[in-house]
Amino acid sequence: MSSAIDDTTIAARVTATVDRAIQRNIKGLEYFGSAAPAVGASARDLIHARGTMLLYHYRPLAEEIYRIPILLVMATSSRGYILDLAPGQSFVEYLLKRGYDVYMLDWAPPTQAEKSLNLATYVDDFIPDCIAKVQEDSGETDVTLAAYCMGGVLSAIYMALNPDGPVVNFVTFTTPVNWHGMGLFSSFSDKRWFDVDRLVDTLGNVPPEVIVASFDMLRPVSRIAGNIRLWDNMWNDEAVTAFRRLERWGNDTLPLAGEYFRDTTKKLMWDNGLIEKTLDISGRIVDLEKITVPFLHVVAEHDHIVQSEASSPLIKMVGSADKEEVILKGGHVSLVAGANAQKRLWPRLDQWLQERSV
Amino acid sequence: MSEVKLPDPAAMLRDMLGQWEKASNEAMTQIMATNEFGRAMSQMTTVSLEAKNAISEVFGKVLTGMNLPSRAEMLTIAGQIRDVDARLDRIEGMLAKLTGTSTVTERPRAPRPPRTRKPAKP
Repeated sequence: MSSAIDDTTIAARVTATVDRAIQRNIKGLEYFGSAAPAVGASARDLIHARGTMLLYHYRPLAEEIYRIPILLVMATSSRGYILDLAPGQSFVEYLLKRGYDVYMLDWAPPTQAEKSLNLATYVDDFIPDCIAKVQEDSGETDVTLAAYCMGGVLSAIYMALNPDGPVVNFVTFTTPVNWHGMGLFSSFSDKRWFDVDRLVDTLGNVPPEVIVASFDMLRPVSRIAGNIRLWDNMWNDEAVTAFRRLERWGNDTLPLAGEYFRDTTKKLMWDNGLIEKTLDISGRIVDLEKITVPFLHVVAEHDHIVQSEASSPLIKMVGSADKEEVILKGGHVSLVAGANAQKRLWPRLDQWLQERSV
Repeated sequence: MSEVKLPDPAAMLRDMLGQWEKASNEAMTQIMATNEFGRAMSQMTTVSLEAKNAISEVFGKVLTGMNLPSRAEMLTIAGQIRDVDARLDRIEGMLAKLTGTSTVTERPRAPRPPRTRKPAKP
């Protein structure tokens, strides 16, 4: 006999296929009738809040912690729970278990009364205010700043304007500096046709639908493909829950304060102010070379939102002697959250932070 | 006896889906990168948001006629409450400075672990 496709193998596969088809139908009905899964794994306290600004402290999970606390700064359009999705899948929980004292600067949706918040408000007010609160709450003068995406942009601007401040280590994930390398975002918001003044003057704050639609358009068919994959995996509770957590986060995008959006579009997207060194915050020009603390820049190899062209110049621009760029496999979100992040980013960051946190 | 691997139609379909997704994304992003698309999309977004805003205003007038608050008014009230909160925070901060107490929100203070951890030896 030259081949051995035995009957039991075929029967097992047919049984599994039929079983999954039945499970898909049963669980598909449950899917539409059930609430979205809970997010946020770690116990935390809101220690300071002012309008859109929320500062949380996560309760330590180790018996002995590193001296220097970490302040995580979230992107202004995203909810912070992406870094704390579920027990065993939480970046925050990992840091806590590895002995770090973790704080997070997270954002509530800005109200219409906050439409006048601008880049300077975030850089000169919110970030330093939270750093001061972290110092006060932890009793330490030194702080590590670790920031994601647009949180990284704001933190980098803060760091450049406050080179002698209390931040002693600086980490950025998926952070753009060359805004002319932002691919389709640059094209959509080209000043030849994008009238940001008309948009902001009419609406006040920029609604989340605009931001979600922009992200979706970077991979226009991925939402359809994702739903087909969801149906395919409907029999698998774990996969469905993981999908729903990420979907919930993706749909939970925040509006952006109008003036902040106008500033970002004009000063960063149009003028490329960080690269051209023309970005002016309250009369001070931002020069990233003034950042001299130990610096880790983490880039996702397959980031479709902040592509390498947009993020890679940062490492060269920063003036630190102790600086490192790490390029890891993964996308914009999977770099920091999910199974691959657990294997790649989290241990790598722990390795970098340990010796700099004592 | 050589073993022939049984083809898995479901795996083949998954593979096809991945390839379709990649090819379609690439093709569509090429189209979207053109100036014409960028201009059209930008204008469409602005116009549709303005239309949505205008509809909201009309509904707001209807709600006013029915003596009901609109969503925008509720959000304004929420914003005003938050402003009052912020003002209280500032007053609390000033009081804390005067009395020398902490401005960090009061919470159950479990004893914090000591900050003496050292890096694991390689």
